[in-house]
Amino acid sequence: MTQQDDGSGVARYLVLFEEDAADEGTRAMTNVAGIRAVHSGEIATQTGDGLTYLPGGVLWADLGVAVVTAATDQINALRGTLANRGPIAMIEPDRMVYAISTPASHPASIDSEEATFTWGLRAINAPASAASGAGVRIAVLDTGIDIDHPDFVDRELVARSFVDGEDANDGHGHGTHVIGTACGPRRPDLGPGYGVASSAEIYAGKVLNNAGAGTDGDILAGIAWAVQNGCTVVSMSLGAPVQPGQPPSVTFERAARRAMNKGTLIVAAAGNESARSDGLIAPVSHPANCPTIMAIGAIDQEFKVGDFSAGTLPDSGAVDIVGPGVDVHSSWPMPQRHHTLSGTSMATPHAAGVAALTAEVHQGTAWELWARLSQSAARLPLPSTDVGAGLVQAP
Amino acid sequence: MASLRKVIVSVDTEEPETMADIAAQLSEHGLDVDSVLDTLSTITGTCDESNLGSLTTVPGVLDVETQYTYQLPPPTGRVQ
Repeated sequence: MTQQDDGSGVARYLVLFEEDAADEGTRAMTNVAGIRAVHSGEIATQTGDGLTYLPGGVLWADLGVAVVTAATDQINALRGTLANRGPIAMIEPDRMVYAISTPASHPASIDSEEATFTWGLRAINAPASAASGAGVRIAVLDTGIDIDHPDFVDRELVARSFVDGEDANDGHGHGTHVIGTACGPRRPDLGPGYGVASSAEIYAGKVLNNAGAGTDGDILAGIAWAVQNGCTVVSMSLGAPVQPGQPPSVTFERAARRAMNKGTLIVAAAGNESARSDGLIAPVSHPANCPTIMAIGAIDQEFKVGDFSAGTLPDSGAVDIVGPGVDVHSSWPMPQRHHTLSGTSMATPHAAGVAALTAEVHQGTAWELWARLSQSAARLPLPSTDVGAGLVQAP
Repeated sequence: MASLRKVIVSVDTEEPETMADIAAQLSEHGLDVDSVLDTLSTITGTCDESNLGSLTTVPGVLDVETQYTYQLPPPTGRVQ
């Protein structure tokens, strides 16, 4: 929604004051242009709609910004002061109505919260966590990463390809998305914060090719690389469907135990083969069905199980914990930059990121991390066969 | 016609020299070795289906499994 000059010559403008010059600038607006701005603290009882059409405006002193409603001659008079290097730094047309129409005394709406952090980060309590994964290494084994992505400049990033004939650059997008959730920024230049362990060291192992295909051999090579490099967590948003009752891979189970003995926890996507709305619950995929690999299911914004999310079936692998996995906003290869996707692939890096935060806070690894993730998970009023211990929570 | 299988072989040691010996013996039994992962006590490679049984006779080998393959949906898919 936009608001332009309505024909009366009156329109809304943003006035930016110089540093620490909000009071002086407010006086200048009154003296030069006859615009009287009300301090934002004084308008708590007024409605936004009324303010929008009032002559005058609202001052946010902490931000050094006023939103004013002014006639053309008033704004021209104010613009005349810009050349004098006074308290007013800039004047620009205000095209957005929603910001001022939210009364300051009311809780921020869902939308404005989403503008700061994704629903997923809020659901796992990441914004309130002092931990950021500093000093912790996370390996994400996937389709690689968009190495030049602007949200990852200045990050410690090691990328390695295990795919024949392809470098570690992400030609699919999936890898860039899941790495964003596990390790991306909490305060990106554009859009909401979406990364859980925003200071972790990123080990991006490409084990799926640009067409999204891969084999066990490349994934094991990626796990070995992560263990050798002292990664505390390996995040694998990948899986191959299995039949109900099919036993887990003994080789992957042994490999996961060896990784655990060396201090590396592996988390993997539970799988997307369910169609719960049609009454179908699929078993946990390989390799998440291995007992020593933590299987991550997905919930949505209403804390309901994702329609696609695998479940715990008799004589099959167990869902150990869940993360946000429906409508997840994260990074995507440029030029698109960001993208919203669903799947247990999206839930998994939320859990991996929380594992990194937990490792930073408690200095624990492997089974201790597993225990802490389970112990601290938020219990959900849902079957344990669907959500395990519950929703992962940042320490 | 030969039917090639990608396999993973689990072994009972992580000692690099012993693993190299096992890998060499697996080669003699028809395994084209891709990698020897000491850290995980695992050897990966490709062999003809008809040789799968003989790989398990090599001393130190615990299990031989056919590799799973993975396929993500295309980037345009909503559920990943």
